[in-house]
Amino acid sequence: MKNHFYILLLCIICIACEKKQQTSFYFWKTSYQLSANEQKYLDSLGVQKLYVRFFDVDIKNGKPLPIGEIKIQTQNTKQEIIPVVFITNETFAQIDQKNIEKLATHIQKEIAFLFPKISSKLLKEIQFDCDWTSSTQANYFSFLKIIQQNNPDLSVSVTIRLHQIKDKIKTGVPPVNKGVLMYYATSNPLTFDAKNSILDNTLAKNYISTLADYPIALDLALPIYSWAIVQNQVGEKRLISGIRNADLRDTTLYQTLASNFYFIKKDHYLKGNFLYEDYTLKVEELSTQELNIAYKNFIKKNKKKELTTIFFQLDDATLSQYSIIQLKNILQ
Amino acid sequence: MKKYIIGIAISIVGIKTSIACSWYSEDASYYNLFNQELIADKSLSPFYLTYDVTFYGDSYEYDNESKDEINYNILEWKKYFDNQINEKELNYLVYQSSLNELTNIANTKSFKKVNDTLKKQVYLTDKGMEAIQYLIFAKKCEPFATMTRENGDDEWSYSIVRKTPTKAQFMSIAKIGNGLYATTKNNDIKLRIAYQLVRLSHYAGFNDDAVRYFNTYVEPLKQKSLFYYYALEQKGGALFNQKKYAEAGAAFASVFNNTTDRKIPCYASFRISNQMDFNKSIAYCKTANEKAALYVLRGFNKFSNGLSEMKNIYAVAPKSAYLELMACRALMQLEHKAFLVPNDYEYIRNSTFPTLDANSKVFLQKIILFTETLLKEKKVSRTDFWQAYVAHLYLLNGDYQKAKNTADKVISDDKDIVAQSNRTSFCAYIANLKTIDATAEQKINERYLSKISNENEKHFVYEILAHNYIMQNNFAKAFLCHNDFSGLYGSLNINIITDLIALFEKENKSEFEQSLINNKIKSKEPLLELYDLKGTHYFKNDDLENALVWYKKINKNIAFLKIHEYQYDDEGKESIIEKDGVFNGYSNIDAGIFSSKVQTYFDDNIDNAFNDKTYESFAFINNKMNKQQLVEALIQLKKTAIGNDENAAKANFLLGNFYYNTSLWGFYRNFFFYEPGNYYLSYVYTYNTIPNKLKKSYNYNAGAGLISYNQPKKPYDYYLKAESLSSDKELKAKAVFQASKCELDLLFSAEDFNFYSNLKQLYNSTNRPMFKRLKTYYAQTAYFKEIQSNCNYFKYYLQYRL
Repeated sequence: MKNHFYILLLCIICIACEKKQQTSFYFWKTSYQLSANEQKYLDSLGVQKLYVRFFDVDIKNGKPLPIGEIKIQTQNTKQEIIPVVFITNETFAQIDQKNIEKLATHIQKEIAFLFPKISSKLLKEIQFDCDWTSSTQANYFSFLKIIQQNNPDLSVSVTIRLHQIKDKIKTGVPPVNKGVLMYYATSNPLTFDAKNSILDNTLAKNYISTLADYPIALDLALPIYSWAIVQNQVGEKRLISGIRNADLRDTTLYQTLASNFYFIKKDHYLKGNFLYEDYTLKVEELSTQELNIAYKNFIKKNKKKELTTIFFQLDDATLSQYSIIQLKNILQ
Repeated sequence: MKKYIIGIAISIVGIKTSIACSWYSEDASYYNLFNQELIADKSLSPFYLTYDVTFYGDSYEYDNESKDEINYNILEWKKYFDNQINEKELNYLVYQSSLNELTNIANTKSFKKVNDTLKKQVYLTDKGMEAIQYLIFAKKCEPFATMTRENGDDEWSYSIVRKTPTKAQFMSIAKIGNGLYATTKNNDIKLRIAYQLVRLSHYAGFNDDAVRYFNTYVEPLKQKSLFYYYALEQKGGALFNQKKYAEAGAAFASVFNNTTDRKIPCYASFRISNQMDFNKSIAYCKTANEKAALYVLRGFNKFSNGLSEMKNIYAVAPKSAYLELMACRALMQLEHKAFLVPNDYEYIRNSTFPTLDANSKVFLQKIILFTETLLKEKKVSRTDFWQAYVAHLYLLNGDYQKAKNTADKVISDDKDIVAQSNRTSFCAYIANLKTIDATAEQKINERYLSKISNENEKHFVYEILAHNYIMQNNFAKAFLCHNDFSGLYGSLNINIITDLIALFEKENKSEFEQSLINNKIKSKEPLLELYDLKGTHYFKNDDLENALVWYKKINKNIAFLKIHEYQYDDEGKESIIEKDGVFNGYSNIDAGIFSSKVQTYFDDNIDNAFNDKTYESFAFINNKMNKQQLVEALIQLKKTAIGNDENAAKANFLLGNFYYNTSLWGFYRNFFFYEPGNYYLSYVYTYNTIPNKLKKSYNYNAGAGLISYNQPKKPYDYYLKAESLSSDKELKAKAVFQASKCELDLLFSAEDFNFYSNLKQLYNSTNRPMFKRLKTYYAQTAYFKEIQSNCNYFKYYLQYRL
């Protein structure tokens, strides 16, 4: 009897643990249609919510306008869809107070227009992604307040960058109940140095030293993307997404200069991108171990009981680098 | 027209920095000395190098002007009607006429119930009727070819879609088209009908039909006119949808090569993502120029290595303008690196032209080598262009003598190539000079007087001149290359001012010196302004005796500062209006500069700003003064202040007021920075550098203000001395209260003052000794009551901190 009780207790504990941990993805492509493989990942990882970028907002001809809206090809019947709107910091730098309300209305209308195409469920949450700064704080926060006031039943969440945790006095804390900490972009990729600009765990750890004091509940976004930073013959740089070291094994095309650094020996196409000789290339990718360290560092500091970890981003090319088991292991 | 003012500008006419701040141009960030308009084929102009917009000649996002584009379709119609119908009438016929009107003409063979513009006899001829029938058909296709908004009312509703016909709709329209194609005799019209059918099929998603229509309707006409290529572009789109990327690429290259108005869309549609497809595409191209166009489509991207594509193009079409295009783009990419307009970045300050890094230098060497070979092989069509080109490469390489020699040898009938060679030669000559002597100055002057220079060249030359002059310790000339006197308002650099005075006082100025002066200095009395600047340099350093020496040379009331306000009308057009400010630069300074008040607001006018009249006790203080009189008054006050009597107390109080008012938080904080108003201080708040520390910097405009002149300790000491000397409790109370202001400034100044400092916390750390003194010793004075009702700091202190 006693043994039975322990087994039962263990089960309850496990169920409780399960409840606390959710896995999710950002969907950041411009055309919404899930491949069978992408759907398999969602199903196998028990994903209940999918964060989908609907459109960006930027200043065009002096006015804030939507850019790169998503083309929705199919409806998702399984997951709860959370629309994400990326708004450039410039938008809040240029907008004046009286136009903030107008912007909020426009965005709400666009979401209302697009949402039924992607989901038949009730819209419960919207998320805003903006790398706001101290100078745009007032406008951005006032925008968030307006959105919340206009939609009292809706949960409004925001993305938070690492620097906004560290400099919370300077940049302020957004007036919302929920945030997602984007646990990446620890340095500028264009500096082209030995550091991994997607995520350097030592740097990131420093950024979150005061995380426990952060007043709003945070979920975690982890980077599973990779890219190459390409430097051309006059020192200009561009990013090519989805490139990994494994793609650069052909020694007739690539000369290894240092760990992650390559010299392009002749003109050729690399995953659809035409590269010329004399270019230099740096690959940035993260191993499951590094992502696991990131996860552990975060949960050590995070006081929130229920946590959703959102992988950036859901697409076959990225998923091909991480098996379902590996993604599960990251969150152990 | 309604006008409204949106901002207050800075004080000097001609300073553009505040305007320029509003938007940054990458194209203006370097001295572009090579003229890419030399490229033989002008239809390539959208593909010239620009960093600011996607295609050269596009309007900037800030000014939304639409380009005046040529409508090639209308020109084709004009040709069709043997130039009998003008463009406006054709526009009506093609775009504005209704289906009803056209059907009326077709059915009745008359002009009943149609707009007068359509009443042209030629429309009733057989040729005209075929055109009308075609247009009726085209209007039926139109709804499926144009984009409409799916959702709503304004630009925010962005789901722009093209209406797709159902299979039945498509079949029905295609049937009309097929019939019309069969019965139409004129091949131009047949080609147009075929184009409509290819396009309709492509847009409707019937890609096989699109390709079939092209092959069976367009090709057999054997008519390589504009609409052939319009149709080919549509076929390219259909091939792309069929994932036949190589064939699509070749189609786009052909259209790119053979049209002017479809070049940009072809570039936008072109996408090949592997070498096999690219090789196939090259094989599909029918002519050498189309192959070359394919390399341009791949290499147009600003990130590309132009040299690689130059080699590819040279191998297939050495005479093509595409080679010149890619060559110019590569050259300008290097120019963008080599001749950057110096700014505040350290990298540029410590460099001389050409500012190329090692990688760029290697790239440049490779282009030079390639061009030299190309010139030897003599396969190109315009040797003169390539000679001018290689000369300019030498210039970028810092090989000035070679650049000059090569440029001087260019012989050409093309006046633009000649102008380019002259420019390269002259820039090489200037860049090669070790010192700027009278001969060089004479040459420069001749070139500019002959008015063949362009602005970029002029700025480039001034850039080198300024740097060389600084190396030669010729500060005045270096300064005048880029600045007017306002460049000194922030720094009051004494070396430059002294050198400028010497230059302006020089009696036999050379022609060059005079034009250097005329180029920048618009002042009516430049020498007097320079005397003021020198005097003010001493005044700012509190060297009153020396200040007076220079002010005395002025010996009259001059005025030179104005406030400039930008005005915008309803259409956003900018104009500048000029107004008097609180301070005109030299004269009409109010005695208020010696006064004080519990609360002073920066935007107060002078009559409200102050209420203390202690200065009236001294006859030598006039109600309005110029700087000379002001300095004389200060000297007197300083003498009086040494004493022990009530007058000495008052003098100390007034000196305290003067130094407080001209400090960072004072009403006259603009005084030493030559700002006409105190509300917006451009020099104090803009990005600062200290020019005289930099060997080669030419940019003196940056001020050297904020921290260096905030000296609250000085007035603080005068106020305390006034308190100690005076027997008048009211004056004592005033002095102590004024000292309390300095005390606060001292507190904030001691901190490494920055925008994010926690000022509240900092303030809470002080116990305000001067306030305590006021409360302890002067609570009975009338002034104490005035402070109590006007100063919130003090009220707070009495209530919570005491």
